[in-house]
Amino acid sequence: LAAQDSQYGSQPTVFIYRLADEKDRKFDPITKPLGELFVKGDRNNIMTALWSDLNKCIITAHEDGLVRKWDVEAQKEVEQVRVCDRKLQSMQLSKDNTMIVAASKGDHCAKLLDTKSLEVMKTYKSNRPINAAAISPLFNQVLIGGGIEARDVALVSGRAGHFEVDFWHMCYQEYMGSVKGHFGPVNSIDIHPNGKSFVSGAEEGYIRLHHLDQVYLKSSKKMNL
Amino acid sequence: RRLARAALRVGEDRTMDKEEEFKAEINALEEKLAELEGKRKEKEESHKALQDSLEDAASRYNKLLKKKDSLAVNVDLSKIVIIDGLPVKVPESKHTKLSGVLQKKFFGVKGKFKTLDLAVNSKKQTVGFAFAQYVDSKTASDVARNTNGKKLDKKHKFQTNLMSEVAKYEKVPNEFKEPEPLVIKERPNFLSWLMDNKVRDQFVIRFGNDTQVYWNDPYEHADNQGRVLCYGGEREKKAGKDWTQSLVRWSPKGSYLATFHLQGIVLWGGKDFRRVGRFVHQQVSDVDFSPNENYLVTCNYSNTETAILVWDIDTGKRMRNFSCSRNDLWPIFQWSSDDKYVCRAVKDKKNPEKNRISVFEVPSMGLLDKKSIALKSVQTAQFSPSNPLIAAWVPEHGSIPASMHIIEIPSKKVVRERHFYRVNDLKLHWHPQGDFLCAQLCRQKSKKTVVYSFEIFRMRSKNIPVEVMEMKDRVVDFAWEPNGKCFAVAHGDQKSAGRNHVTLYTLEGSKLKLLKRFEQRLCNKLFWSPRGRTLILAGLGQLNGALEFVDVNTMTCLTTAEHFMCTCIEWDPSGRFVFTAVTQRIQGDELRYAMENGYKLWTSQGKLLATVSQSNFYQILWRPRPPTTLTEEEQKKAEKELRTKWWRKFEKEDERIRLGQLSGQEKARLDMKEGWKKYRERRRKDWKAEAKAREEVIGEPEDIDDFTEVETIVETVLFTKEEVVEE
Repeated sequence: LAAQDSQYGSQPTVFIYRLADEKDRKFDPITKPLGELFVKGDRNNIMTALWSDLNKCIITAHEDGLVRKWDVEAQKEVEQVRVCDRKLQSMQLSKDNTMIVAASKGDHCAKLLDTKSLEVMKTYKSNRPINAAAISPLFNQVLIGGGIEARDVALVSGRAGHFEVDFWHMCYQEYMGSVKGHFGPVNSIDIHPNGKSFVSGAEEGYIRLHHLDQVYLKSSKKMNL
Repeated sequence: RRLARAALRVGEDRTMDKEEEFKAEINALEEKLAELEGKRKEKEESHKALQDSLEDAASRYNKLLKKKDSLAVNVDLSKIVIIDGLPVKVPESKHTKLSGVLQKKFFGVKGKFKTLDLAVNSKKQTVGFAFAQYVDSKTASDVARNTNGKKLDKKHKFQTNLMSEVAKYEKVPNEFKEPEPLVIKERPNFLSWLMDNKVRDQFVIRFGNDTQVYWNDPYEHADNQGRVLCYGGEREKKAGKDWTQSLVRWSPKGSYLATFHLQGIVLWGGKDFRRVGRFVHQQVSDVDFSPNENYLVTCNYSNTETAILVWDIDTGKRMRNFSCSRNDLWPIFQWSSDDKYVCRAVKDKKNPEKNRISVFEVPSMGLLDKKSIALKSVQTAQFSPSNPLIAAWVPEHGSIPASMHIIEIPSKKVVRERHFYRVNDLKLHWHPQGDFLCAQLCRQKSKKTVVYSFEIFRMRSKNIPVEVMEMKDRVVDFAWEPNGKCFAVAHGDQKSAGRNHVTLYTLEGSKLKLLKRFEQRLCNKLFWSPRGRTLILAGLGQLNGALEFVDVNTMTCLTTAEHFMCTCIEWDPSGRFVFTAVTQRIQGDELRYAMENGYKLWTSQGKLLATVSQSNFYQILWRPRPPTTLTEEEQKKAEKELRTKWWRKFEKEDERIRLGQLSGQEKARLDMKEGWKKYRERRRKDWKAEAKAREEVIGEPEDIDDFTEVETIVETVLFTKEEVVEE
């Protein structure tokens, strides 16, 4: 498992820890990290770190919009791609680990990357800061959630803040529909591996679990490529 | 021989004598010659001496001339008056008397008079003219003008002129020089945009520091947000400046675009939006055009005499200045429809008795009949949009009831007058074509109840008949149908939480008639299309942008739509499209609108054509069109011919656009689809290839599900029945 460290004056780093094997249920909490990955002098927080490429690489998303690929063995940076101009909030893998969707807070958009090449394949441009995104395992769809800052919520009516979870068509980059319900910015989204339900958590402290119905499944099948 | 010799000797003597005689003669001649030569030389020398003296004299003369000229220049000729026609040959003794008389009676201006000189000849007698010198040129010119032609006595008449004038005529060259032909400066064609072959309308949007003018082309350019850029201030940007420093305004017929700057207003026009006018007015905050675009009124709300300036647009000259107070509502000056008069209700804060309506004649900018119309406590005065009539109202004062007057200009005759009791407030609504006038009254029926009523004046009928209509509900909005005879009223009681009724009435025929009542709608403002026929019931502000499109001819609701938080609704001048926009004030950085800032374009049926999201959005304005130059008959003819002549042509055009778009869109989608499929195929292959490697890492084959399905049969006892079987 990889964990990252940010702020408090310390260098943002990704630590790699070895978890105990399944058979050996003892988990020593204070384990020394196997390795550390960081860019010297770079003070940008590391927002997400993901394993990829059959455990050989780690892909990290940084606050300033860069996405870096690291080689685990050598503990060195292999590749670096600028995905967004402004703040990058989080990243998630698709079910088959071939695609990554990155949510950008500053750019008001989400971008779809290829895991191997780290190339930006698609962009989904929204009108509010995006905090989290996920890729549907069943259809060619991407879920996006976000909303304007928590401190500005009081100044805006609940509807105007756009605290919805949007469904976008992956290929055509078109907005398909949204699920309303939160009244604070959505901070994280995840889809069930079977693609029929999803969960979203927001700033106001509510976690909403949605089960997608037959209408959704039918129409998505139609709209799928 | 001796005789011969003697004769010869005598002959010789004689010739010798003759010779000597000749010699003497020759000598005498030579002497004479020498004498003559001497004389000639003398003459030559004297001639030379004469020439030298001549040259001397000439140079001296030139010097004197120059001196005279320089002397003349030193003296300011514009301050000297030359007086001709004076008595001639007046002896010196009488000079002082003469000059005394002249000074006292005609030419001595107190304080400004300097000297009077009589011109005299060598005999010290007057030659007939004199010079009078003054302190400044204004007095001199005044004197010259006033005394010219006046009589000194029976025989002598003055002819006075300014010396500078005389000098001017002296300088006229002898040859005639043809004057250069004047260069005609090309003025831009202000109506060039009307000649667009697709008959598109223009609109200007104002956001951030940008001002952009677009052509509205929603069908052909649907992929470009339905608009084509006409001009976006690129020339100004190159020069490092913004096109406007606050807002922009169109002129009433669409010829000019006015931009605001710290120093004043600048007008732009023509195909490329070149600068066509510049009006200096420091810190100007508002501008108003006259209906025919001849004049401009600018205001900066300062406490000076030049708070309001009236300008002539074509020449750029300032016509008159006025002062104003901060409380006056813009536009303070109301124009008549033909640009001939402009009026203003002058309110005296301290003494409302002194309120009056000032009507000014344009272009002289003088008060009509040199007097304002005195109307005690008058509150507002408005010109009719079509005729020179002013509608004004006076609130209640003591025992005198409130009254409303319609005054005809320029006769100042009160054409119609109405009195009302217990009026709290009165609003005047003119019909856009001036056919009707509505006075919306709010009266106090009893101590607690307030009742609303409408007084409708039929302006086109003889004697202006009035129809009265009462309404129990509170009136929220009132709107006339342009080019029509209907009006709509939005009313409701305050308890119904924002839902109001909208009622439509018509003035067709001789009596007011109710057409239809729409109950319980989310509406607080009414917007008619400029062609009439379509009405938008809008719920702005608290009602968060509910829109309802209503067709008045069939009394049906066409569409219900919504533009969340929209603040303004603008119909285009042709009545085909509508903008609904979320705008914010230019000063504040209002977060409330930050998310929704932008505009939407709809058809007149309520179909959404384009959505544009734009932060810091301040203004969106359609460019007005001048009224059609077709007569009524021609318009009817065109409508009839639509089906026969023009329909096919338009259909073809529409079809072409549609197909073009479809193919474009379709193609784009197909491309994307193909590209995506290929990419996924590639990755799937890679993924499959790695399957084995994955198995090794995970430690178990992937096919095995994380979940195992276990089927359990649960038996529940539904009911137990005991049956005793009797044997």
